[in-house]
Amino acid sequence: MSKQANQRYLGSVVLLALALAGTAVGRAHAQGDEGPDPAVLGVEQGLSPRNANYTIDVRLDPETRTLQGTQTLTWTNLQERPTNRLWFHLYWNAWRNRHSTWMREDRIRGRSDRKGEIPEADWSYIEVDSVGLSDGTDLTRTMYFAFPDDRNVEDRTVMVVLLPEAVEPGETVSLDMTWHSKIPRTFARTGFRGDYYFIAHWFPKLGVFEPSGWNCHQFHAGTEFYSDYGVYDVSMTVPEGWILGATGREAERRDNGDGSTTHRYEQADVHAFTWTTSPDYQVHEARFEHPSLPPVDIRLLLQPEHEAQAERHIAATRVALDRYGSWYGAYPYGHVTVVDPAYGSGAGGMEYPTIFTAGSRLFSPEGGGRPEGVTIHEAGHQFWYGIVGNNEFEHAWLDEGLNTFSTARAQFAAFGESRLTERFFRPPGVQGSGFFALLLDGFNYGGRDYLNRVTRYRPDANSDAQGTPSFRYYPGSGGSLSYSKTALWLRTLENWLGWETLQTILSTFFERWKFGHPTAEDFFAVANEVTEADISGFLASVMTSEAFDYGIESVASFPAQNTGWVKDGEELVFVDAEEATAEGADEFFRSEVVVRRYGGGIFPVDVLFVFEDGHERRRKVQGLGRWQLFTEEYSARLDYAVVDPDGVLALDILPGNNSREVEPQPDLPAWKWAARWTVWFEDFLSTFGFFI
Amino acid sequence: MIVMKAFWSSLRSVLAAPGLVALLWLTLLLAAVPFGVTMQREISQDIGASRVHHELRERMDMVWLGEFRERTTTLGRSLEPATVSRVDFLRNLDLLFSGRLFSQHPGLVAAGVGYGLVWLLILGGVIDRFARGGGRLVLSQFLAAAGRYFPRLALLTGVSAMGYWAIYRLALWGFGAIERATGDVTVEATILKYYLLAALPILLLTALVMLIADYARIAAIVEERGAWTALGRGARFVAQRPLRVLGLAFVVTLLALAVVALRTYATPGVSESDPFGILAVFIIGQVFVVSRLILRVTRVGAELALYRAFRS
Repeated sequence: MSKQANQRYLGSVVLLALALAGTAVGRAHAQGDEGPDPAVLGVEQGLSPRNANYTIDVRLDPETRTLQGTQTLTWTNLQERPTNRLWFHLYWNAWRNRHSTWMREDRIRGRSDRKGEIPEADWSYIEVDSVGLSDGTDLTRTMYFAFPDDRNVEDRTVMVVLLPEAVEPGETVSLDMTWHSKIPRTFARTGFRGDYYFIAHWFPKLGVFEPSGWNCHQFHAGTEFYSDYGVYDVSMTVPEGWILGATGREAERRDNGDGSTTHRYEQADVHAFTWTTSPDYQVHEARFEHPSLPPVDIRLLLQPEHEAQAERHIAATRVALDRYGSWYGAYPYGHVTVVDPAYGSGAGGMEYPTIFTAGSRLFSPEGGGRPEGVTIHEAGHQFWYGIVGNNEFEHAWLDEGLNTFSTARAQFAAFGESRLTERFFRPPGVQGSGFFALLLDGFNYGGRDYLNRVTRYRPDANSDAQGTPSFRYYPGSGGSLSYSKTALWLRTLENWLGWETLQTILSTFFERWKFGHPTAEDFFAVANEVTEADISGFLASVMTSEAFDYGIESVASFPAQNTGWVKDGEELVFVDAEEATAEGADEFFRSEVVVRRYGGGIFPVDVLFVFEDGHERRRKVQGLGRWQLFTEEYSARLDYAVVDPDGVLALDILPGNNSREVEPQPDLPAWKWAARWTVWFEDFLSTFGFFI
Repeated sequence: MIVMKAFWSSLRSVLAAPGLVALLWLTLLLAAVPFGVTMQREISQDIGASRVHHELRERMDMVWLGEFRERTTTLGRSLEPATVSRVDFLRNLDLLFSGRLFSQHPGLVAAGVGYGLVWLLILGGVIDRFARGGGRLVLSQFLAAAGRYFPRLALLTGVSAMGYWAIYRLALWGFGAIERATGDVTVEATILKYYLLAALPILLLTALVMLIADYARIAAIVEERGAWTALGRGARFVAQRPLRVLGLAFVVTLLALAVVALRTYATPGVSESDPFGILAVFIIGQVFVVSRLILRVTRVGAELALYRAFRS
């Protein structure tokens, strides 16, 4: 899809670029794998295809907030077709100015944390200074920008390099590049604040060559990343004494004698490389050990003011490694770095291979679910995103949704229900939430709704079809579809099929697609293969924009004349109208319940009828109709009816209408909450009097 | 000593006038209850025949609350966890302090302004009563005094409202400037310290406007001054005796904090599910409201005593 768009939109640009290139460029080097020796990395046998390998040397200049880098990319064509160009992401160009696709979409979604004027020093860019083949052939003049997704000619987040000759299937090409970049004041969780740097998606990064061509989308505000797996060997030079954390393990540290230190990190079988540095980090180390899972060294880079929360970060990381490892498959890297981002850096809650940012506040009371929730979530992304490397531009829900579901499950299993945290004291005109936190009793998301996702999903339930490529979602609603809706339909599957079956689906999918690039169809194929029940209709349905909402429209129960042939014990007897209404005749009631399917989504739900004497009857809601009348005859009046009484359909956007009583009793709870509210309102009014 | 003496004598006089306290409380209750009843109806209608009421008796069903807040009116949307919790007063302080009051609850602000006007009317009668030395509350006399002084007090309130507005703008500018200036500070505790330090002068200025208005109102009634003259006398009084004036305000604030703390601990969680439990929570709330009113009126009486002690 995007490749066709590329061809359509960019043909003229390619011709122009060729003309600019002037002369034919030299022969590309088709050569063997020149990446670092796997033995050096401690991984003898690759876990992944390792077809995009990078050796990068980068220097941070904190004075100018710039990076200066050189890199060698060694890429192997794994497809069965040749290509004579390489497509690169230049993510940091998304924040060159207000005209990029990312900035446009950020404005549309209306939750930009950069409202108002953005100072010149806060913008960023990345400029590629030179590109050439390893034999010295210069390709710099063949570079051009592409805009495959939206024809926004002012977007510079995708760059194409033309090769003098096509790289044939199985061949490898090696490119040397030099570049420099300006680090942004944090956008999209990458950038600086003071001496704190979080450097993500920072170098010219190759797209993914797929059977249909290059998959290299522009940077979008609502979606993330997609890359091939490879081996990274990265040397980062930062001021001496600064603490550094990065993807992988440190292989070498060298003081340069000029006030700088170079840290060399290596990691194989990952699809990105991220690093962070700050003079302020406090380093904590721990180890995850488990009887059936490989050990993992945990390195926590903590803000000193959160020292008391160190164990909470580590415990949450352990929970993720334990639960995800047991449920889906082992974490293979042996180490993980947890970064507690600096206050106000905007870098919290983001995943990168073997390193992730959590996020906490000075006051984060225990029981409120933070930093535990975000830590489990981002650690969980090591599995869904890191190890199973889906295309986040097109199927963001595959990692975000699977991970959101898993986070809720793991967090609930380990820590129980989180209590609602209210934050107070946010000075006027200041962004963010209040500084002081209080836990409120009685407001936790418990039991059936612990996923806490229905409320977030409901406003966008009829927005884009979930099957739409994620980068095409309306920017304001993409999150609720990718995260909340997916988590809710997975929860529905769990309720429907049982955890054991769902776990088998997820673990099979994990095992089959680890270090690969699965699509939505791959997930559905595994789900249908593993499950005995026919879930294909449901899965097809959740990919649409149809909402699921079953409800009880009406209930009624009234005396009925028990006339005609009636069962009396074992016998059938005829009762005429006179006998039926005679004094002493058995009481008999007819109850009518109308069940409606308010949303377009279809799901096999039950209806439960509960009568005044406690007797229960269950019926199935049949077929595709929008409503169904159920009539029950019984010797007691109907008390109430509930559709989906077991709460299987977690996707139901309005669970409040799922039940209906014949005799409504809303007044007492209404008085309860209104009485409390009235006291608050008296205080509210008194506050006006206070100042007069 | 004179501060404490003024305070205790005022408190005694307020406690000796249950009629006055009852009047103030009933006024507040009458102002709040129609809104409370409306809220009750909105909740009740939203629950309808749903069985969600079972859970709502025991605790807040957060999913239902989400549905309710999407379907309800502006008034209904003020039903939030914080406004029905035992720290509801913090929500009010936070709304005021953050400046979100006007953007989040414009309808309720209108109600608050309405109540403020009623309070202003009553305040004239309260000060007049203190000025006359207390005694039995005669409603006709009380209301006559209230009506007589209302225009003057309204003008003074308009002036003090402009003062509050200026302080708010100053706070907006000041805190915004701190946010910009601390754009590279990475330690939350440091930034919090700056904000708290900045909040002190803002609070002091607010207190200053409030106290000048308090003593101006007293001057307007006790000395039968016009609004502008009274404002000058109030300002002069505060300027000449800042420690005593602030000391009295400090004592009242301390006691208010004690009342708030007691109320926070006395109010049960949200698990009450029977009519008696609901009633108990409401009664505890009313005790808090009445205590707050007593303190508010005591402040007026004590300020008047202080003013008289130094003006005589």
